[in-house]
Amino acid sequence: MMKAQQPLVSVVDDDESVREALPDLIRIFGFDVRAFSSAAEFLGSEWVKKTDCLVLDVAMPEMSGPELQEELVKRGETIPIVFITAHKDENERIPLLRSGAVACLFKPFSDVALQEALDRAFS
Amino acid sequence: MEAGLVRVLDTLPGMVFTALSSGIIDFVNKALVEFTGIPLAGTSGWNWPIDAELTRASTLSHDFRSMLLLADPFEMEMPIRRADGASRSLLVRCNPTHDMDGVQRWYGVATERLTYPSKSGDGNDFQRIVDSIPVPVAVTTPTGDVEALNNPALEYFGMTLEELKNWKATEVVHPEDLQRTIEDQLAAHRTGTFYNVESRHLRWDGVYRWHNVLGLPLRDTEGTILRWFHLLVDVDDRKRAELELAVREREAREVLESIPAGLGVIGSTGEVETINGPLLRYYGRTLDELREWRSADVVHPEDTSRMIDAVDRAIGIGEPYDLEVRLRRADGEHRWFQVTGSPLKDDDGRIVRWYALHVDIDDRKRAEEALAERERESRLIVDGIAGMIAIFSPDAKLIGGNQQILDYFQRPLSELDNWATNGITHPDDLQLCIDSFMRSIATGEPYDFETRFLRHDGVWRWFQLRGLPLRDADGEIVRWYGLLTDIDDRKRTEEQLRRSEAFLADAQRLSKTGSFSLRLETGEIIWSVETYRIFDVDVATPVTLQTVLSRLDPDSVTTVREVIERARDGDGDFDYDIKLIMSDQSVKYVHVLAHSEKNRDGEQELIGAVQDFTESRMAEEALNEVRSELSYVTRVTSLGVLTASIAHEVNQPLAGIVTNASTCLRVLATEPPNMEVAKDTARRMIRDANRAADVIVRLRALFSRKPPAIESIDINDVASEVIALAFSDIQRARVSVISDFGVDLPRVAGARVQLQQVIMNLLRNSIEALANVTDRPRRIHIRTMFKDGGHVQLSIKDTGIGSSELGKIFDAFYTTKQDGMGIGLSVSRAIVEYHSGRLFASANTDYGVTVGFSIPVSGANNTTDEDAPLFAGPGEYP
Repeated sequence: MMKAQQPLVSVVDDDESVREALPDLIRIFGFDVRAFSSAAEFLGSEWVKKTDCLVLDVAMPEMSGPELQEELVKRGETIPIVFITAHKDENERIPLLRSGAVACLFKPFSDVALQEALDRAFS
Repeated sequence: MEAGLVRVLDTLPGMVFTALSSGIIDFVNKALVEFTGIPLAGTSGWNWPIDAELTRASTLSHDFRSMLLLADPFEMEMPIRRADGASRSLLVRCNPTHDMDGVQRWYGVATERLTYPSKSGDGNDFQRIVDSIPVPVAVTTPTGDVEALNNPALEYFGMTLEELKNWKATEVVHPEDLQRTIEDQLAAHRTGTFYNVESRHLRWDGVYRWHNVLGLPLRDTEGTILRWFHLLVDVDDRKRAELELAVREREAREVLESIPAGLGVIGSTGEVETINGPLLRYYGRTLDELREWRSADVVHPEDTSRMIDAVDRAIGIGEPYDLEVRLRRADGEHRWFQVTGSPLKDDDGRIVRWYALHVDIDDRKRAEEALAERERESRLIVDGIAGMIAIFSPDAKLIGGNQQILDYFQRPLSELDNWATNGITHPDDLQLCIDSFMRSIATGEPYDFETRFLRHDGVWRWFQLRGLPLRDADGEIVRWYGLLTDIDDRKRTEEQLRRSEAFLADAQRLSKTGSFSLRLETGEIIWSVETYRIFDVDVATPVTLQTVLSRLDPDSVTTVREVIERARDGDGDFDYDIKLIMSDQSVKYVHVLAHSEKNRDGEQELIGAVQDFTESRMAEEALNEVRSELSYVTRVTSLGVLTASIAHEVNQPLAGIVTNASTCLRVLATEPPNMEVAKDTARRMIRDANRAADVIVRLRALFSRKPPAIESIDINDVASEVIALAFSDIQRARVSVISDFGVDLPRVAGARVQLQQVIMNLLRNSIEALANVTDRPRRIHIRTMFKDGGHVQLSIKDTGIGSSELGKIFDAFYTTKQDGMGIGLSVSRAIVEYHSGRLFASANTDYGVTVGFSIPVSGANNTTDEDAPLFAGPGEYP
């Protein structure tokens, strides 16, 4: 039931609840979606090149969200990133936006806020 | 020669000539020419026709010329051949006349020497004989009538024979002598013996001269008195000398009587001849009584034999005597006299008499005795004194010293006298010694200086030398007394004192601590150098209370005035802080510790120390600031971290729930609703909500799961650590903490930090309970002890405001403090109970409460559940 022409949104989060909940909602928004439990898993997959937008958790074990972003920049990948974080700290958010993130959402976030962020990523 | 004079001379009834000093007789009168038959002719002068053999003639001629060379009247006998060839003897008498250059001319008279007149001698012969006598001679009849006078007589009186025949009527004899002369002559005439009387006769020029008149009778062969010869020998000079001597003697006698000293005249064999008035009056005795002075009780009984011996001995050997004796005055009092006897000797050296001078020396003697007494006393003092004494004569010779000085130097006095050269005076001090000492000797001013002297064992010691002159009643210096005080120890002490003062000054400077004293009666203030520095006052400035107050801020002025008032009232200790406002408006904080009591002079004195703790105060303030900032930051930070951590853990499931809920709503809103997805999301929401609850459980476990380190601890150590930790709080709150720790307490098993928190909690509560206490000492009593049943108990007793509901104070949220959360005591309770212990609280009988806890000792049956949480939430606590 996948449509090849639909943009791919990849979700990287170590929290299982998020990995289970987000893909359903994002599909409703009309995107193809893939979930990964860690940065390493995402980087090791075939989907890096195919991903059109990345929904990325900030605080993760081993490689964190921003480190993954850095790695992608190194690899020459320019995937728009929407950061999500459970740590509500404006001081963390601003550097992320400056380094090229499309948006940074504090968990828990509303479906509308996520849709707007994805719309900005594809605009 | 003038013709007039020649004529006069020629007319004279005698043989007269004049001669020059050269020996030339340049004039002879007619009488002499006729007598000798030799006229005056030629220019070579006239010469005596000497009738003698050639050698003798030459001698006589030479003698005559020699006499003319002199200037004194003279006479000589000259054998002459008369004109008729007869040999005669002429008495030649010459008198010189003088002019400015000496003898101008000699006038001479030649008279024929008469052989003794024959009994039938004629008048001419008689006249010649009489004339030949060179002194005035009068010849009277046996009845006293003047019969003849020789030329000298006529010349003396300047009268004619006729005039002189009536001499009794005239005043040729001095009126005072006339009567006696006549009487003597009459008596002589009656007895036919010679007479000898001294009387004054009037010379031609109106001057009376004394003569010795010798009257001799001239008798014939039958013894009948034919005539009287009266020879007048001029004794005027002698008589006048005698009279003058008599005057002098009278004067001498008057002097004798008028001198204020006593004088006795004693004969050559010791008998009293006379005693002058003053001495007679002194004794109040008559001369006759005093002739028996040896037994007349005029000399003091103790002195009598000495006086007699002295006088007898002096007379025996002819030497003067001199002694001091007491003589009895008319009123019975004895006074000291110096009696000196000197012999008067005649030309042959024989002693004629003795003069004994008596001088009253009683006052001097008493002064001497007083002086001697003083010296005796001085001597006693000198020997008894604990210092060294040197005695010097007025000319700086060492003449005495006490035993102490001899012991010190162990040298004889004679050697010590050479102190300037024999090495006993330290070379560095020698010049000062000599200068100071000799200046005093010269001026009579006391001396006072310090020097080092060599002790017999070769050790130099410091001495203070002070010298005073001893003076007699007249103010003359009799002796110098020098006191040598051994100040070596003092000198060393001074040195040590100086050093310790320097140390103290350094210490004061280093510690910024000055000292001061205030005499409350006089207001006199003494500061140490450091105090001057703290107050920023020039060291040379005298300090007054005003100086102090001018530096203080108003509150400190009040404080200081109060302290002074209380110090004035009595003894006490003071401990207060003052604030100084310096001239540049900077502030100094000074801590003062002072003590008020009576000093050695009996005056109330405030003595103390001032410490500038500005820097530490500033540091403390800065530290406090840092501390409070730190605690704030810490609190905020840890809370923030905790909050963030909690939020992170909760936000993850919340994020899942929200997302699932959004998805659920969206799929349900589609047509047709995707029920599968809706169910999945609903299931996930339940799971996530449970997960969130789990997070809370986990969080609590995170904070409570660390088991405390249980160790064997000494409760006293723990309590001491807490007191040390709370020290600044205790000090700031002005609370005194008394610790009364039990000895040899058994150890307890526990968590050191937790027990510290309990004690700290209890202690803080007590301190806070004392905050508003002003009417009694703010005191906290911490006590540890062993309790029956194997427990160690710690109690904290305060004098604070106490609590009316003691039973509740360990309940959570119960607090007596307005700003408190009430958590502390309940936490304490939790900790103590975790240690299987028991908290307790009770009201004191007077003020405040006693709180504390007891816990079992190590090894006692411990029921601690290792898994039980140490902390429990208030709600969960049973």
